[in-house]
Amino acid sequence: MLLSLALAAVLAGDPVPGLLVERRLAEAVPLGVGDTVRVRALASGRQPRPFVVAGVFERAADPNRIARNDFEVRFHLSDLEGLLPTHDRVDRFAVVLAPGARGDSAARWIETTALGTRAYSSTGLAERTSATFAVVSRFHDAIGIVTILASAIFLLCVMVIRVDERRRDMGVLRLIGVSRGTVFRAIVLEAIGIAVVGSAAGAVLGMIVARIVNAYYAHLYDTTLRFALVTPRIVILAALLGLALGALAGAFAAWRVVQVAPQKLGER
Amino acid sequence: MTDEPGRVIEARGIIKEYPYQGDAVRALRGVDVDVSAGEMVAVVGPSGCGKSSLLNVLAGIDPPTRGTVRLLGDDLYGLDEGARSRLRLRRVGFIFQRFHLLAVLSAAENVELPMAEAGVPKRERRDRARELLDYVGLGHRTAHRPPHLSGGEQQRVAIARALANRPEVIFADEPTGELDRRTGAEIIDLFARLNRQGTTLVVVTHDAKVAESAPRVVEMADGLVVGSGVRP
Amino acid sequence: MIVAASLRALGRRRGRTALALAGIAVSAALLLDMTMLASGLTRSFGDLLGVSGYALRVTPKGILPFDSEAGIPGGDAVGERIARVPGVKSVAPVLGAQFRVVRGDSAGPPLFTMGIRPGAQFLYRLVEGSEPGPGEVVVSEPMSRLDGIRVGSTLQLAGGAGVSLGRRDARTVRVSGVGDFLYDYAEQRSLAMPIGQVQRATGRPGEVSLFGVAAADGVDGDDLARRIAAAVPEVSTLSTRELMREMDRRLLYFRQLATILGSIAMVVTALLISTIVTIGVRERFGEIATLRAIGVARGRILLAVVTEGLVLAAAGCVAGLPLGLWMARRLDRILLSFPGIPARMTFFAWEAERVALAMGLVIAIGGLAGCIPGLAAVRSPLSQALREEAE
Repeated sequence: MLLSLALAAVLAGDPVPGLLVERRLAEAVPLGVGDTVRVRALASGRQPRPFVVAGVFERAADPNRIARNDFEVRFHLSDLEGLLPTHDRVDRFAVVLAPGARGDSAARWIETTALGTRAYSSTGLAERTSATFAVVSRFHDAIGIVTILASAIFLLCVMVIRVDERRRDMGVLRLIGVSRGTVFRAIVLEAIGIAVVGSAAGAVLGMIVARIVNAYYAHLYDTTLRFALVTPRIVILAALLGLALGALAGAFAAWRVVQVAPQKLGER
Repeated sequence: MTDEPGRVIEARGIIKEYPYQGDAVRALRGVDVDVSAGEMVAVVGPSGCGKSSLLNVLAGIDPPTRGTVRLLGDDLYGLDEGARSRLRLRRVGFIFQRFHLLAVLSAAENVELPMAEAGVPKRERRDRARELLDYVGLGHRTAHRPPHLSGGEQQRVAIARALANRPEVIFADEPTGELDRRTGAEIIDLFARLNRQGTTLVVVTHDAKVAESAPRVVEMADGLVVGSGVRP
Repeated sequence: MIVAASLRALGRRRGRTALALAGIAVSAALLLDMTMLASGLTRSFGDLLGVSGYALRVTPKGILPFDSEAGIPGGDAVGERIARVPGVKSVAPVLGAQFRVVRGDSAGPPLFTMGIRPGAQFLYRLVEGSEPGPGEVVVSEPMSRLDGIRVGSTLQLAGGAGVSLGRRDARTVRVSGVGDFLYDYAEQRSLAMPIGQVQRATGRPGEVSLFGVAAADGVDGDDLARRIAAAVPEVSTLSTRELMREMDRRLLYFRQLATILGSIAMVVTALLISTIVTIGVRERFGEIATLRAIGVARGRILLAVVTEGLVLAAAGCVAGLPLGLWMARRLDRILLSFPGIPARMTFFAWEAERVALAMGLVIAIGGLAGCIPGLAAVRSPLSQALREEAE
């Protein structure tokens, strides 16, 4: 509901009802507890009514509203109705269930009993309201796959180049009797080593970048929401992926070099 | 320093030091060398005596720590890098121990390259490259790339490349060092033929056969010229 | 010739060059997508706003179109005042409401319903039939297709779920046409009917949710918006530019994400190209030293190495362009499943200059990446390079 709000002085008379304002609004105006404001609903055409700021609250961090430049105030239901052209109307009810009752079956019962209503369990509601973020998450997954692909090619390229650079050494090793298997294993181990070091550096870099990103958005949107989260699960996943990619890249590079006859490895 | 007519190289008081672990290693310790037009000079001496350092200084590749070099009438190190490059490109030829041909170019293209850089028209340089490869005995292998040529053949291509811009002087650094005796002898013959036709050659070598083929020998030891003689 | 030699050197190690090209192609594709994403939705939104010729929106004070249930009271009169502003060609009022299709004794789910003025509306294009007259509706194409509704069909419409409670408040309407609703999301069922009908049915006489305003030929949208705002101060007048700015603000996250990912793609491209060129140059250090020794100018050698980087990058772009466009289509499909995004919009707009910018950036990075090893090669002491090569 859209309301207009103006600071006002109130003469003595009827007791002035209270409202709560969210912290960002209180800071933006600024407003403090005890200040009086005049409020009217934009679409009502009614006269503004005075309210006294009874408190300041921190709005729950809601990703759905993060980019919207709106503020929130809270009234007693009857006070809000007094500002609006429609009466006896609510947008939604929150229902507390008796212990042991199941949310989904209660929601279905409410829908069949109170026709025209839609009821959601808290899980169902979370799923519905997080639809936007499910999409963002799918988008990030897709970008992640592309990034992994690019990293894999990069790692492969680096390994092939590193091995190519030392073809002569490999040739010498083979000529003095070191087996193909040993050369192969040495290269794969080296690739794994590079991947481990790279993953560790990447995890540290990721944590630093996540902190910077979160600090930036916290400042930009004045929110406690965290946009980037590096969890142990993500670190482990990245490390495992790095190891697997490293081993694969090493195996590919090693396979290329052990296929060549040792005397040819010295050729440029 | 005089600028005598017919003098191709005049080097005076050449000192060359290389930094090594915070110290300076002196490779040349005051060398004077003169080379006249049409001479073939073999610079000989044991490994590490400063032969290659001297060649690099004389050819304008590596500036001396002290001393002056006049090459073809120019104060070599008084020229800027670009002018020295142009001098090397148009008036000097180089032959290296390891040939240093471009592996991705054919024999003919390797020979054409200095001409292309000097702005010789395409048709002219193509004809000249073929002519030069014929001269060094490789007229039948113009399209072959260096990896498909033997060491001797590669060195012949390198010689043809050195001749590409009709140089007045050719510097060769151990030109037979990578070759077997028979192939080395062929290269020596080629040098002698070039010299007879008027090309000035300065050859750094520890190959006795090359030294024997040169009318003049400059002997070096420990960064100094210790002997110089003209064969009768 | 020296440049040709440098390029042939790329072909000498085919496997490694192919890998580098694949990496550059993926990075270039990502950069292209992020460049397209950075402005795509805003641009596409702007196109959609202007597609019907109604470039301005007049909304209840302080809100964006259909951002809340608020309406403009006395909208009919406001519409007349707007129409009198010089430069206004046409005014199209819209009232949003919800109706349900009644089948038997039960009402279906709520349908987004728009009250429009049939002669002046900007929300749909008729694909079949005619504009709705009294007692008639136009249904959206998905509604027609999914529910088997044709021109001439009749529908029972109710304002609430009262039918299910036995209230006989449904009215019969005839389907006069099927429309392509420009702002609907994929497979959305929508209705449009004359605005007076919606006002009466919902008990909101004279109310309007928003107006679309078409400017006369040659009239600047922003100027007209200012004139309407002055003439009708109790509403908000938004030009396409302002709406796009608001859209831009709401999509800040995507633009920033695009910038971050685009930058990462650029870094990866630079790393790949510089790695491959550096190694290539290192392998040919002796060749390069030889070229310098025989008198090839430093600038020419640098040019050859830089060209190598440029060609690698350009070839990567050639491969990356179709890959990027394919990826953009896939990513667009994901993002268009955002609730409430009109199906006609796209997050990844093809703009030739932006595509050229992305590809130009990759190629410039290729050149820069070639510069580093190139400079190192031509600046190294010549005699030392020759000596190392001989060892």
